[in-house]
Amino acid sequence: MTTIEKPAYKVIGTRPIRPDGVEKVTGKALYGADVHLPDLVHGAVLRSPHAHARIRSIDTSAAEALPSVLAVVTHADLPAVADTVIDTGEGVTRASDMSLNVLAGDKALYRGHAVAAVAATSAHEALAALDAIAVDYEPLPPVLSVRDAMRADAPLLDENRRTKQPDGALSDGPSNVAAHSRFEGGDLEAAFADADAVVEREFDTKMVHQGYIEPHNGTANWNPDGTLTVWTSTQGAFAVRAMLAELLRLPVSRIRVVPMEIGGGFGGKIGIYLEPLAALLSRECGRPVQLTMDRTDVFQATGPTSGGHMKGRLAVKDGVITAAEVSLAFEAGAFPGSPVMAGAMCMLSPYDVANFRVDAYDVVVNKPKVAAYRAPGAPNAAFCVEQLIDELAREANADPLAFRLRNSAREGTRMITGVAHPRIGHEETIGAARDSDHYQSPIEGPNRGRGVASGFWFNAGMQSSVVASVNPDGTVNLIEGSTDIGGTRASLAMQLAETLGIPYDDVRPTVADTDSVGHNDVTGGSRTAYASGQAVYEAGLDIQRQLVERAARLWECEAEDVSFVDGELRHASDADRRLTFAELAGKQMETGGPLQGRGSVVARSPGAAYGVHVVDVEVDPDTGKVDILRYTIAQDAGTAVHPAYVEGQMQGGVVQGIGWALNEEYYYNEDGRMENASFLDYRMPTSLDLPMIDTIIVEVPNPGHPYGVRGVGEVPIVPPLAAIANAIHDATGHRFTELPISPRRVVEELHHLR
Amino acid sequence: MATVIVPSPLRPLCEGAATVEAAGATLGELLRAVDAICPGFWERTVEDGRVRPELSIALNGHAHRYGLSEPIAPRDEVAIVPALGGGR
Amino acid sequence: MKEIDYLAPASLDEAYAALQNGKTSAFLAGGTDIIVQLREGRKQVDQLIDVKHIPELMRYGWTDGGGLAIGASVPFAEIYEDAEIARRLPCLIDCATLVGGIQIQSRACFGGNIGNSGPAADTVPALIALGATLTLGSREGTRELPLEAFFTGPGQNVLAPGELIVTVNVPPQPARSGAFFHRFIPRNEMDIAVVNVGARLELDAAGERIAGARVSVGAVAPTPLFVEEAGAALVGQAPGEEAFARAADAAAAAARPITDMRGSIAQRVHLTRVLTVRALRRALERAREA
Repeated sequence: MTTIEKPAYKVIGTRPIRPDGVEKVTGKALYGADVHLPDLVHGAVLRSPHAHARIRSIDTSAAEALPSVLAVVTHADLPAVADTVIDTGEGVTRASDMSLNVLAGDKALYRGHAVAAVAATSAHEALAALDAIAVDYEPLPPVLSVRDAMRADAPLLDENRRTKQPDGALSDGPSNVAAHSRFEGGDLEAAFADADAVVEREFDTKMVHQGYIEPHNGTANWNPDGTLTVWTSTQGAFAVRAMLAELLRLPVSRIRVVPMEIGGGFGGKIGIYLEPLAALLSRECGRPVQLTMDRTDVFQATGPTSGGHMKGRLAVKDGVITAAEVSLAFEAGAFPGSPVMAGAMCMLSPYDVANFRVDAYDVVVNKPKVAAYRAPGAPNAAFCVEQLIDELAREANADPLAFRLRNSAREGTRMITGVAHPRIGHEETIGAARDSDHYQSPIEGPNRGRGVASGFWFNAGMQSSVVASVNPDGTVNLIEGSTDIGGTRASLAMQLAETLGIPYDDVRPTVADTDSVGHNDVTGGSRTAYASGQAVYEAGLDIQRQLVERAARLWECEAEDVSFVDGELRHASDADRRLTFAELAGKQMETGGPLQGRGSVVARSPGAAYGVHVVDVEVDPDTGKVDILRYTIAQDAGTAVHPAYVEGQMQGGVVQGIGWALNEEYYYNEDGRMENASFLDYRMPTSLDLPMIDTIIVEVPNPGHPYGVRGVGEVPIVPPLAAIANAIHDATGHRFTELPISPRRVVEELHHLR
Repeated sequence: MATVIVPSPLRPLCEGAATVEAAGATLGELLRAVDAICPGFWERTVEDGRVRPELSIALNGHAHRYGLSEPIAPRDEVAIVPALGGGR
Repeated sequence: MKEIDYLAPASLDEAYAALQNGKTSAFLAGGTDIIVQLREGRKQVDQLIDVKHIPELMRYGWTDGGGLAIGASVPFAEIYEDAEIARRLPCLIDCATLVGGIQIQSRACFGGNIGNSGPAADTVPALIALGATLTLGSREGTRELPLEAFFTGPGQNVLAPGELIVTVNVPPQPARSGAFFHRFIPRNEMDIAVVNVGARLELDAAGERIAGARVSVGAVAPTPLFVEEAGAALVGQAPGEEAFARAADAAAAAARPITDMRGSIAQRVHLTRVLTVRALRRALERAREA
């Protein structure tokens, strides 16, 4: 449903076949592990078996002596990095942290932490060679939860780490709390004192993984002249290039990163793990080196997202949320950088709350360094706030959607950062959910319940650049630099086709490497259809301008007398003077030479996205099994360029949220070993566990984009955790405040078994 | 005059004020002007000639890594917010 | 992973010879357990003996007495696509359609599930409830034993060196009996059982009293359990919730589970009760239809 008169687009809003579709379904698409080069050798990585240990020494001599071993590297082979932060567009990480995560220095900080890497004449020989590396570990007690990490007597991951406090000062003593941030506004105590009702609870979530189907990979060729080519499945070739430049102390221009097809990322494939190792090994042995991970490595040694502990207290007066006091402590893993701030900033953004205090703690623990996972931090924080809002609505005797509507943020409402919302669509999205057939249908039967929740994600803008070359036959090659993880090749081709008034099939998009296209920030942050779309639009306008000039030259008139309408050049007064796009494209050589359009943007108005979810569940009180009976997601997409891919993003986020809510968790033993590091016991939903996820695309166009596009990829994962918990509460009368709400937890809590 | 929204951690520098009015043709000039009213503000927001990497500037609601030379118009609203990754 | 030899004996004698050639062996039937274990380094052997080419292991059929002899390597899919087995031994279909998932069932087999000897094996409580026996063979000859006597610990059994499972034998079922198997898993498919239960009820001629009962529970002990006390609690009783509750108590008392990533002690004891009662209800329905 669209809120304003939607322009009659020709291409936008249709559902063409994606350009990468045929190759993907026939197995011809080339992913990172498909890279074959002459002389390619394979490597393997030695990983710490201890969650926390001092590394006294590493003796690689026996491995190096093996005839099949071509290279062995440890942290000593990495250059000392500058005391700087690397901005990958994913927030900032200290270069030294990244370097120590790639290969452990004097400490192993999580089980699976890379300690050394080898390249050998076969993958099996490389694995066998790992046994020949002797590492002298001094095991230390591991810290495995934020609560344990924050205790005064907790073992420290880094004796030099102090807490960066809200006033900017560092704490006196060392701590596992890397940072404490605070947001405040209004008069919290007065609001609580004056409230009709106050609800207060604590919540716990667990570390979970993005669960992409394709494990990480990296292939590197280091030439003797110091040029380095890296092939990898990544969400951001330019981010990889920047990180490699920092870690390897190479000029950026010497590094070419080739992004291969990618089997899912969700934020977990922005950081680098194998690429620097492959590069170092290649430098040492003079041959291209390929490294891949198995699933156990992916779980233990990439970037899951934080578990954490939250405390929330909300107040209501006359149906209005008047106060919110929330404290969030998230696991950062082995190095600082949890998404606790993003979570803190999102959780109240659907609402207009005048009085608040939010404390956000970033806490290191002996687990893998967390990476982004689809709206990082926001699902966790929503699990807390959206459940409290559910309770407040009950206290206020209000329908949960009506309560949210009454308290909704709108254009001009300020977030806890003080920044005012632009034109946003929360109210419209609530309306769509409320009017849905799902919400209007009664829920009947024992042990059944319904829950709703809202969610917000900022969406990002950042930088994109594209080039579009017009071919003499009127088709266009679009060279862009955004890895395609959700159908953006199609979306960008559609936006260019719309701009030029030509058919979608006439635009051929290609995702190019870092030598072949200008800078593009990561495919992440729900930014690609929006920001790269804007770049594509600019390139289209650039081509239009040049076509107008060329037509004017041909017709010997002024450019003002020529207009570009519906893919045609037309003369203002002479109706006989017309040229189609293809006709003028065919005259390139004689009208000025090769015709290219360029678009290079810093996109600043992504507009933010809202989702409102409705879910019905049935709980078997004797086994604790929760079945999702029906799920409807309403989401503001601004303008849905390719509705099927927008629906896919919506459904995908919901499914990940369902798994996170009901079964997924890193199950650690007391030694800090993840016991369920396989898809057998790290339980993600299969298609057999889910009903059809019904989607309602709401369109409140984003004024900051020529076609009104808002990013859609992340916000769908924000509400499900809370929506499902609210539904289970409706079904059982019991509110679950700890994730996952697995059959075990349901049975133990409902039957008081613990 | 532009309006600068002061984040909670920096309010002590401004005697608790949540917003400050100041004049500056560019972001850099504006932050200097705020620093004159709230001593220490510049140091907390600028490093090595750029906005500190852990911060973003939201100009009229649009958050980005603006450079110090970004033009500021009268009645613009500038907020200082934590930099976030574009998640994913 | 080091090099592994692959042998494909075409007869039982060839298989016995392979087992005695001095190398460590594992059997390869469907491979759905052993291949995973080898790749993860959880098992190491010199050779894999493919048992899908031995005629006695690849066929199944009804015996003269009305029982069913199933070759150890017959895939589950073949069993559950057999309409007569589905009609006469629905409990076998219960477990054969639950192991793994559809892809797994097209390769995996009873012999493999039993030979892997996992405490949560999905075929075992169903077969124990049916009173199944195993025929084991070696160069020295064959021997038969009740299935419940086969397991000695997690992944361990009484197979002697040089011995393999030839057939799984389901005896003729008593008249007026019905058997049922189910399990609890957190998802709808693709999980290892948190608890699984197989139960058989035999009614007397009048259909008013329980004449015989067998209850078996898995995933709650180092081996699948044949809970004779649960059966004893049912014999002579009127079939119904009261008798079922007492059998469930006996089953729960026999359970000695651990807490691990698949379930907790408290949850498993609780589920043993729930699943035993539910299995007995379904077994009763089938007994009444028989």
